[in-house]
Amino acid sequence: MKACHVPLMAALAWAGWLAAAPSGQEPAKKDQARAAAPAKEYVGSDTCAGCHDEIHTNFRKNAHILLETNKRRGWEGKACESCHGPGSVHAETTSADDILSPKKMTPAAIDQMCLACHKNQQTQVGRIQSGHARNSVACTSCHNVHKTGEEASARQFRRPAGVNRNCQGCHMDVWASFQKPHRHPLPEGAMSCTGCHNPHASFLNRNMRLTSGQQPGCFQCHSNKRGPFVFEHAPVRNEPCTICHEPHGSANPRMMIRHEVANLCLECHSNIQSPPRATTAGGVAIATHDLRQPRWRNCTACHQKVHGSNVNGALLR
Amino acid sequence: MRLLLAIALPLALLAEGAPIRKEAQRQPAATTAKKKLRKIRSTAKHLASAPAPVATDKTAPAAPAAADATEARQQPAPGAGSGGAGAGKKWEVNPEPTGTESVFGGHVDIGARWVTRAGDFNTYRSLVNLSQGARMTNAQLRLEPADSKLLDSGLLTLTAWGGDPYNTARLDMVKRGVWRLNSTYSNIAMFNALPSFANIGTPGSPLFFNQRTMDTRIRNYDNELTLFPGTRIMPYVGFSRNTNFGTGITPLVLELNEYPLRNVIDWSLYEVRGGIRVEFDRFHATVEQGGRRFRDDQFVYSTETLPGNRSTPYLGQILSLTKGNQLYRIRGEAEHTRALVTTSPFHWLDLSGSFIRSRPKTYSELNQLIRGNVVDPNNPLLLLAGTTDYFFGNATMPHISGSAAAEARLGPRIRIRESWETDRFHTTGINTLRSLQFFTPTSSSTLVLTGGERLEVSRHRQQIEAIWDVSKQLTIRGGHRYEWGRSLMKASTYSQGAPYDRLEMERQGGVFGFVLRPVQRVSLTGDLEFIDGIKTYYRTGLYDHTRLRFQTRFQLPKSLFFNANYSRLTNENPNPDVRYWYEADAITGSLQWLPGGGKNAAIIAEYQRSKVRSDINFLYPLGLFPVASNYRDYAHTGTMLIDLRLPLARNYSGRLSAGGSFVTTSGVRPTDYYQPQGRLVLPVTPKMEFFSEYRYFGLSQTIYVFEGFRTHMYMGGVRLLM
Repeated sequence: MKACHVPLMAALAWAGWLAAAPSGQEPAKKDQARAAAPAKEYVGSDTCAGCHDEIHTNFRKNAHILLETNKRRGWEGKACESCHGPGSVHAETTSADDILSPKKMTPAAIDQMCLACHKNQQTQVGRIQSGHARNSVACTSCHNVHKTGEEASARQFRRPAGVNRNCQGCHMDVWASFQKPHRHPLPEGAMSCTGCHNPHASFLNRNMRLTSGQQPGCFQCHSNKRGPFVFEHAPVRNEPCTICHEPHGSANPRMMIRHEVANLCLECHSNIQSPPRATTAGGVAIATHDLRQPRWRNCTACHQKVHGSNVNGALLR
Repeated sequence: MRLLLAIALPLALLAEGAPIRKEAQRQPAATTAKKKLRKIRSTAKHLASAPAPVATDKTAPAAPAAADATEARQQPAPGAGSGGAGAGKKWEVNPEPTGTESVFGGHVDIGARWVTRAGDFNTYRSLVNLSQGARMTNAQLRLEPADSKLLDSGLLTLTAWGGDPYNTARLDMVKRGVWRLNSTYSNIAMFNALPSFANIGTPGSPLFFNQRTMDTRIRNYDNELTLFPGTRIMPYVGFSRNTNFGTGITPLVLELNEYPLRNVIDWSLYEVRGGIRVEFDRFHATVEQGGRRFRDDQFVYSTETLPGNRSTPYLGQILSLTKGNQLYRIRGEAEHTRALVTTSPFHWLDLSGSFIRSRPKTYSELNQLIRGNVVDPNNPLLLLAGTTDYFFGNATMPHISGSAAAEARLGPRIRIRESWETDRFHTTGINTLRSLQFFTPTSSSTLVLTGGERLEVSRHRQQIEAIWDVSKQLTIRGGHRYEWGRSLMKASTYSQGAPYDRLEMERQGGVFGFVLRPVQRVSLTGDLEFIDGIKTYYRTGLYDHTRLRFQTRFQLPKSLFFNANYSRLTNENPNPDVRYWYEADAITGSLQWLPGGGKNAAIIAEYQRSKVRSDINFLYPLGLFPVASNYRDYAHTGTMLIDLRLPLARNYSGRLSAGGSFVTTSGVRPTDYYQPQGRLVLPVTPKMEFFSEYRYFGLSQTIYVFEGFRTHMYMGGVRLLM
């Protein structure tokens, strides 16, 4: 961490102290309120249906209806209260303050509510180190439980456009990239963000998805780049595809990160000396590559097997 | 008989009467509660029927797409569902009734598109590729039988069928507790023939065309069947297929000349996987075994005598190719084993881990036939009448990766997270060339060469982070990340030392973040990384880099939302042989106005200003002197969607959507790309709606003017509701 970052850290710590200060004045009041509050008990889903009949009816088509009848889960007949907490006080007062509601809960509390059942599932392997968990993105940020029909997240996420709309809500900057001419076909509805990213959990950077066990998700569609090849192009293996490509959208052809292929290649292949004297790998291009001629400006016109070749060490065929 | 009935009947009632018994036990309390509820229900009714605010979760309000008018029309706004169906007496545009009890439902959109176009056809096909004709643009069919022993629900979703460049299909079927099937299919056209990409000539010359073109279709097909979903033990099996077939142009590269030839591309991959998931309350494990087979057959062929890309004679002779064929045949196989575990041994501790191993192999053959006037690849002073080459080779890549993570909750407000990942593999390949070199059409000699390479890669990451829920309004986190790796790779052609270089990658630094929610309608999140580079593999690899991301959301009056987002990435390598500087930042703002939940109107607008700047020197090959590579890309991007309900007559209304997107960039490749669109939907009958859509695509580039195009599209059709 550089010295110039210290003031920013100090400002954040000061903001944290400010935010924490008011709650320090409340413990006594909270204790008194807690002592006076009636004990909450479970009343059963049928009681909830007394007022929330539409939600109760629609819930029959929800996957969580399993809780209502499944003895193993321990919430038989109390599916509503499995998430919203005991409802006896709320049933008496009908106040929204007397029942747990994700609208008013912190992301950590929401996650605790959902993960009480969903924590130990395959989808959550890698959740701890994933970007969403680290940034306190709660489950209900993407998933809604009570909506039905077209508005239900379960229905929306069946369509690529529904997934993309949901992700776009936070990742507006990424969605803007997809408006550029060279892009993966997400705006066309042919792909979705979850085709490449795992929103729940991944131990790769940027929540990248794995395919076929442990290969980067790019190879799910671009299988001919998987290899292995007799002659590998090393950055394809020891760096992500983003070392050459902009995966979302670009004004450059083939979604390259540079407007001309020669610049992209030569920015790495410019080491006269070899390691360890040079701090990086790459070497230099041979002298016949006269960039003044258009013939030499697109390296992949000759080095066509740039992702790896089984025949030629210079990736020419 | 009567005795049997007297015994059997209560037993039968009891067997299915657990609910009845429970009802009886619960009844006194429930009855009392229900009576109380009825008394106050009239005054409390507004609590149950109040429309939900659009942003039900303040950390991430949903935002309908601004660019896709069709989808926005189908889903006018989140939170509008309670009123979206419209009153039963009004004739409104209605994608599908909500809370329906019907067994079968859905909709199908069919129509026809007309296209007018001006400008470069190849660029249009590379970017848009929509053609005219009849289409089924969208379909969703739902089956939910009430009392079926085989199926609880089935949902089929289709998009863009009938000739469009992208079509998808998805089938989800479930019988709760018994089986679940998820099946997806996509067919995506990959057409790329941009004139500027790999063209060797100048406009007007015979070599002015992209020598790396493709006109193929990638098809993906993935299925997974899970048995006993939601139970403790769930076996599953999956099958995937990824194929690509089509044609293109690719150069046949020979010594001192290249010849663009036609190319037939045909590769496919099949994968089968199966495993078992075991889920208990505090423990889960998944074990999976899979295998795949890969095939890649490419055929490059000539149909005429070609002079190639070389414009000058060599040794006083014109190099040419009278016949050139390359036939690739690659076969691959792989198997993988994957094990995943999560466990919560204590209420304050969560653990997860994964272990994956695989061993892919490929076997390759190449037959190459060359006839013409070509240079001997082993003797640049010798010209040959042709060669016949035969390569065969194989490569393997044993691969192991693993991860482990833990979260400890040290009290109600403090969490510690630790994670560790490792990934190791190496590639070993060997091939043999057997070449017949023809000095004359009948006289030849044989050359045999072997070659191969080894590549080793290992990378690891370790991260520890503490999260402190300071209060209900503030959460902060801070930690440390350390990444390191090693790689053995082929040395440079001009290396004087060993044939392989050993390099290392190492970087470490601090990671921080916060979530601030001072009031319910406002939130601010930040994500910061400050990483110091120690070693890197490549000149443009991540070294000293900083990532910042800030996002704020606030809700103004009840139906007005504003989001702002700032992101920044800087990367710098100050080493004397590199001197690389990179900076990218973007600021984005979006506004959503959804009065009345978006039932009558919705406006969604988004704007982004982004910049990418990169400076590094590279060595000009001819002379090895430094040349600056300065990349600049400045972009303005905007999307907007206005969706309005059109009350055209009493109890009759349609919907009008208009919007689209634009991108305008300046820098090294100035580009303007406009995509406005509009859509009108009018109900015709309660089961049919008419839709009419207009779209425009326009591309212009200051430097590559010849790639510009403009296209107008009109589509009309009907939506059939079921």
